[in-house]
Amino acid sequence: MSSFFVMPSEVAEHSLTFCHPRDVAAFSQTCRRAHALIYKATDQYLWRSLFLRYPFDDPRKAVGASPTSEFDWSGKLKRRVFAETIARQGGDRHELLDALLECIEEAAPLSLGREHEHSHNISWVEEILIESDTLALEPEFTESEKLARLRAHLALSLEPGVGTAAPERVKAFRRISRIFVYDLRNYLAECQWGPFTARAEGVYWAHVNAIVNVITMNLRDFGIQWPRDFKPPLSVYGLQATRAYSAPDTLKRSPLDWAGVEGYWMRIVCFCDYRDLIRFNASGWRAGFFDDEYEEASRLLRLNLRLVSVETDPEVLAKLPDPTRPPITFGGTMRGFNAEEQLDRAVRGTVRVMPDGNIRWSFTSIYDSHDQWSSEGVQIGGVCSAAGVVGAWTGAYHEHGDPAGKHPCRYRPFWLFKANEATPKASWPE
Amino acid sequence: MPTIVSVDDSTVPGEGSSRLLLLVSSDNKHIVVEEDIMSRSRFISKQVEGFEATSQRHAILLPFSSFVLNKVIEYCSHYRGYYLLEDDPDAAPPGRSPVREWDQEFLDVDRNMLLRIIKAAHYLEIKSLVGSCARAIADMIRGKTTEEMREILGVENDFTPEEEHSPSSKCTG
Repeated sequence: MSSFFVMPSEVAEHSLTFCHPRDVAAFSQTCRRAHALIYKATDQYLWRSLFLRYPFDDPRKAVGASPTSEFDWSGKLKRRVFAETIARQGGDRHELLDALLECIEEAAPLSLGREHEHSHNISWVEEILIESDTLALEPEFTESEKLARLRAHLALSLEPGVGTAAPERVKAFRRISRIFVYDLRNYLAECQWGPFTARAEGVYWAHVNAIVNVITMNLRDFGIQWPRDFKPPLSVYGLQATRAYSAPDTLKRSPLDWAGVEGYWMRIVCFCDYRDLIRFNASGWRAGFFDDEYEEASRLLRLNLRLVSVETDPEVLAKLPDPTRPPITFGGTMRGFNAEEQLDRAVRGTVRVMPDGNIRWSFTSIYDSHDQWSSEGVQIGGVCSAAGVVGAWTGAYHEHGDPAGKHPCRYRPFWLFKANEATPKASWPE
Repeated sequence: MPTIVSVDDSTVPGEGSSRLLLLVSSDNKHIVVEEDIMSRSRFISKQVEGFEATSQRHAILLPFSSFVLNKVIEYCSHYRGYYLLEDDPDAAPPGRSPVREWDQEFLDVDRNMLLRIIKAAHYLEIKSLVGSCARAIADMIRGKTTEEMREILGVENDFTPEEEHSPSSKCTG
C-alpha cells in the first residue's frame, strides 16, 4: 500500500488546505514528515490558505495594513480557533476578547462595487457571541475595558427587549448605563469633557458603552414611532455597521476627507429632566434613582458638514500618531426636525486621530449667538463607519456648572451618524 | 521525462480538428485518444505544441499504468469541451476548486487508487483533477484523530515517546 507521502508535497499541502485547522494539527502529529510539512514549510501557503478559507477576511486588505505586510498566519489562525474553544468550554476570557476585537478591527472595509459583500470576520464574531455565553455575564460585571469596547460595538444588537418588558439583564444594563451617563463626575476637564481617558489619550469604552446603551434603549421605547431611517445603523444592522467605509457615500468622498466629514448627518441627543439631573447628582447617585419606568427625552437633529481645511504643517504632521490622517477642520449647520426649529445653528469642529489610534470628533455649536455647547465623541468601528460617532454634549462654559470648574452643568449623550442625502426627505413624524 | 518514440503520422487519422494521440502507459499499453479530450492536461498540450513546432507527431510515454491512465482519460472525457477555470492557463488561479458532484463519485475509490490518480494528475498538470483529489483526501481525514489518520493515510508513527507528548499546537482542542 502506498502512503500519503507518495504525493508531491505541494499536492499534500493543497489537500490540507481543505481541512479544518484542527484536522491539520491532528495530522501534524501522525509522523515526523507530517510535522515538518505543517510547521517547517518555507512559505506561508498552507496557513494563509487555511486562514482565508476558514473563512476570515484578508487582513492584508484591512484599513492601515499594507498589501505587502507580513502576517503570522498560523499564529493568528490558532488564536482565533483557540478563542472558539474558550467561548465553548471556558478559559482565559482576555484571550477570547482580544481575538474578537482584533477580528472586528480587521473586518474587510467596504469597497466600490463590493458594497454588499458581508464580512466573514463579523459573521464569525456574531456566531460566537450568539452560540456562547460570552455576553451573558451580569451587567454589573465590569471585567475590563475590552468587554465594554466589544459591547459598544454591538449596541445591544444581540440583546433584544423593550422597556419594562425587556429581560432583567437588559433592564439592568439600562439602569447601570443611565447612572453612568447622568453622573456629572464622569465629565471631567482632564478628560477634555469627552468619553476619554486622562488627557484624552485614549477612549474610555465603559463610558461610550453606557451612552450607546442609553440611546439604544430610548429609541426602542419609541418603536415604530421613530422611523428606521432615523435610527443609528448599529441598532438596525448590528456589527456590520462598524466596518470601515460602511457609511453612505464615503467610498466617493474627496481624497483629503479621510474621515468622511462632508455630507449630511443625523444626530440623536437624549436628556433627562434638568431637575432630575440635579436631584440625582445632589442625592448621592442612588442606584435606584432611574427606575425601569423612567423616561428621557430624545431629539433628532440634522447636520450638513463640509471640510474647511486639513492640517499640512510638517512640524505638526511629524508628531501625529498617523501622519496619513492629519487633523481636519470642518464647519456646517445643524437644526432640529421640530416645526418650531426654523433656524440653522453654526457648527465648527475637528476630527483627528487619538494617541491610541481611535478617531475623535470635537465640535461646538452656537445657540442664539451666545449659548455654546461642545461635543466630544469617538468613532465606533473603522474609519467612515456607518455606526458613526458616540459621545457627550456638554455646556461649553463648563465653569458655570461647578464653582471649581471641574464639571459641566449640563451634559447629554449623543449619537451622530451619516445620512443618505435622500434620508432627510423622509417624513419625520410630528 | 518519458522517452519519445516516433510514430508514422499517417497512422493517425485526422477527424476535423480533433486529431488522435498515442499514449503509452508504463505497462506498455498503447492507448489512442482524441487530442481535444486530453487538452485539459497542460503536459500533453505542451507536448502537442512541440509536435507542431517540429511537424512530427510522437507517442507520449507516461510513467503510470494503463489502469490509472484510463481513469484519467475517463475524467477528461467526461469534461470534454467543458470550461473549468482551474485548467485555464490564462486565468488567475481560483482560490479554491469548487465541489463537483461527479468528481466526488468518480474519486470514491480506495486510498491507493486515489494516490495514484493524484500522482498522474499532477504529472499531467490537470489542475482541476488535482484539486478534486486534494478535496477527496481532505474528506477522508476530516474530523479524524491522529491515530485514525495514520490508518487512513498509511503513515507510520516515527516520533519518539517524548516528542509525542510535547504537543506543539494549540489547535487540537
